[in-house]
Amino acid sequence: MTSTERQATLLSATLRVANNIASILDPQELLQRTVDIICDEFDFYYAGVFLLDEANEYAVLKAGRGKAGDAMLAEKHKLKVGGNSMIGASISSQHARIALDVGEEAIHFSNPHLPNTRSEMALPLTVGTKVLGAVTVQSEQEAAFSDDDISTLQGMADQLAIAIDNANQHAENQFLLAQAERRARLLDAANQVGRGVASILDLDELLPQTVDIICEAYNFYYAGVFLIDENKEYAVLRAGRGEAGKTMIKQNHRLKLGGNSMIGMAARERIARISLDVEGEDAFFRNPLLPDTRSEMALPLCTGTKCLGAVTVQSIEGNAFSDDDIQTLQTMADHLAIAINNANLLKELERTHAELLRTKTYEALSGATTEAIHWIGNKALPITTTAARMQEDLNEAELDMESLKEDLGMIVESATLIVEVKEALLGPARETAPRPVMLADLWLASAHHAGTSSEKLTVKSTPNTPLAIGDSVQLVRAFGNLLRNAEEAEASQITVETSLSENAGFVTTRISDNGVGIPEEMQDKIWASFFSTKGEGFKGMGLAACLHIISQLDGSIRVESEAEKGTTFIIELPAAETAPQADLSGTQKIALIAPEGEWADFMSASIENLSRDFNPKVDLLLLDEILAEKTLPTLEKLGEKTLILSAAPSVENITKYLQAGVKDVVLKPYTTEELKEVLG
Amino acid sequence: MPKLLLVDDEALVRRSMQKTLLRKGFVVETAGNCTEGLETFKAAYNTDAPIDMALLDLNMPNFDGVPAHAAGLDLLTKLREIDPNLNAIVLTAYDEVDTAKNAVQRGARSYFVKGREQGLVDLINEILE
Repeated sequence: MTSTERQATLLSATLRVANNIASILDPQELLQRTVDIICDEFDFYYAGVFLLDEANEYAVLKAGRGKAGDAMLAEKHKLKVGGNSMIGASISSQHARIALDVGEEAIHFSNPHLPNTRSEMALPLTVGTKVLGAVTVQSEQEAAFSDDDISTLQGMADQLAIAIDNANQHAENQFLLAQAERRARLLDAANQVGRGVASILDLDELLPQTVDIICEAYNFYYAGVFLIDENKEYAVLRAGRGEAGKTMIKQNHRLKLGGNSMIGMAARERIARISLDVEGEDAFFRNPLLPDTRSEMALPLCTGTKCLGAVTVQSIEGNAFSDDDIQTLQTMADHLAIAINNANLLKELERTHAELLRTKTYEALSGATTEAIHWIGNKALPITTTAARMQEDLNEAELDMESLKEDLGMIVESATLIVEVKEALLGPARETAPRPVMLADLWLASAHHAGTSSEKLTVKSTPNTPLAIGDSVQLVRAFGNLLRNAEEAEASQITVETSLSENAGFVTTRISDNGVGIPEEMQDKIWASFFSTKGEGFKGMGLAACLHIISQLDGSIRVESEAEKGTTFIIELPAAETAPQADLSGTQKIALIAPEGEWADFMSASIENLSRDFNPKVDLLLLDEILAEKTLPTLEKLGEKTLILSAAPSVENITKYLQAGVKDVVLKPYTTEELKEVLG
Repeated sequence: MPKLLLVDDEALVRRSMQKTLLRKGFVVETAGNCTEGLETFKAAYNTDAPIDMALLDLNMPNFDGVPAHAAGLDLLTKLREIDPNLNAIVLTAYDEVDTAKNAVQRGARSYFVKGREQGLVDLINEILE
């Protein structure tokens, strides 16, 4: 090769190295390609790149040409800086060393892998004042390196040094970036656990969620939470990651406090135990379900001076935990400890509350039972005393018939009161059949059954008040009790108002009286069975039954009362969303006898040509039960065309009406659908 | 004939007891609560036929009209303020030692568990003798 040709080759090799240097960021690939290019282009026997180790003590071979290179790399070939090698000398002096006949070079280190070397060049890799390593180039010929070769190769080495430095910086940047990303992920995990800690009070939810977050965020092999048992003897596993965790929970996995385990030690000593290589750890529980664990951390769960348990975190890598990891995980454990403590306090509170509730329920039951026994005792007393007196009287020569009759009457009255209690108590408990009902009409029916005079009672309804959902029979019973209550409070005026409630989906109905009122201290007690503010005679069942009936219909009832001014009961019942409609076209001539009011208006609007007069030529006469007693004697033959419509039909009344000759007694309809069935 | 005041809020109990006592020859005035009882007593007090003995139910509406456990004892105190020598028997449906003691401490001559009216008649006679 002429000197000109060789110069051209050198130039092209320089360009090729320069291109590689520009495009390859992976340092290992860069070094290997460089040695290959040097040997291929310059036809040298061998080339290799050494880089300084961390201590700057040795130059370690990082890339070598051919089989010799591979062999030396496998041997982890390294040369001491400043030692008796050309590489070592070039690094320590930061100057190129060239031996044109290595046999004569004092500091050439003869290498058995490269027996044919006759010339050698060692070029330092420097960037500014920093030395990174050196390049060796070797030839089988003596005096193989021309001045051109030397300066070209030193230029190449300088470029290579810059590239290695760049690649190192790139790697360092990558590492810093990965570390920043990991920190961000850890922070996010800590936040997630923090949120859970603040919002979840159920440990069975919080603990499994925490171990999952720890494993996912840190990419750890396993995490588990142990809590100390009541006897403070064992740390019992309460949550564990994955299948291993599930199996251990099933096996009731526990570790003795202070025993031969990192968890046992951490929970007893209240300090973190960290093993970066569990093989060398004495206090390590070797768990067959977690065979791959290499590093383990056991963090105590402490609040104040109290230790509640410990968290285990395990990795399949040795040396897996950075200071960052340990710090963030211990912070997380501290938060978790607070949450566990809170959950324990809540549980304690709930237990106390349940106990209190039991005591109160027992007190209420025993109170109610005592009231019931008092009541029955009082009602039964006249039966025995009167019977005893009658027995005595019957021995007299002359019988006082009037007195005996009065005594019998007293026995009957006492016995009846006792028997009626059964109905008052059991009646409201019967199954209800809720349907859309017109509350204003139910109040009129209730007044009729309770015997409240129409002069005393005013029933008002705000226009367009929807129907309520309720059982008309039960509601008539409840409303009747409230009317009786007002009468017993000596009311001279009772006003009932029905309107749409302020609570969406409800209808309100209020009954106000101007009676004596209920003293404030009695207002909570009035809802109890056998409690009566009236003392004499009354059963004390009315309001208890009201509450029962209205609650059963998903409604509510409350009282507002002022002594001497009167009482208002406010009842809320669910509103019917829509009243079921039906087509009512027909050819029957129908008459209706009912008091003026909302229900009569509904009937008139629903049935075409409905006659409101007493008309003997009709096919069907609909008679409101409220007017039945007054109307029935005047019906004569029309009776057999008469349907009595009752909001709350009773056995006694049905029997009475049927015996009077009416066609039937049916439940009063409040929707066209129900009306169609009645007319059907 | 001795004049008795019977105060009990249960109408049938009151009437039954009244009949038995009338039959035994007593004059019996009745009242259904504390307020009525006090008024009846006062009305008779300044006449030439005052009440000789009060029979007071323990549990009945108090002076505010509210049912109270020992309302009868409140009435007893008021009656004895008017007539410190008044004989009184407290009537109750139950045998309660503490209430009985309390009744006697407040001036009742006796404490009678309702149930056997002949027993009450014997007790009244015993006290009045």
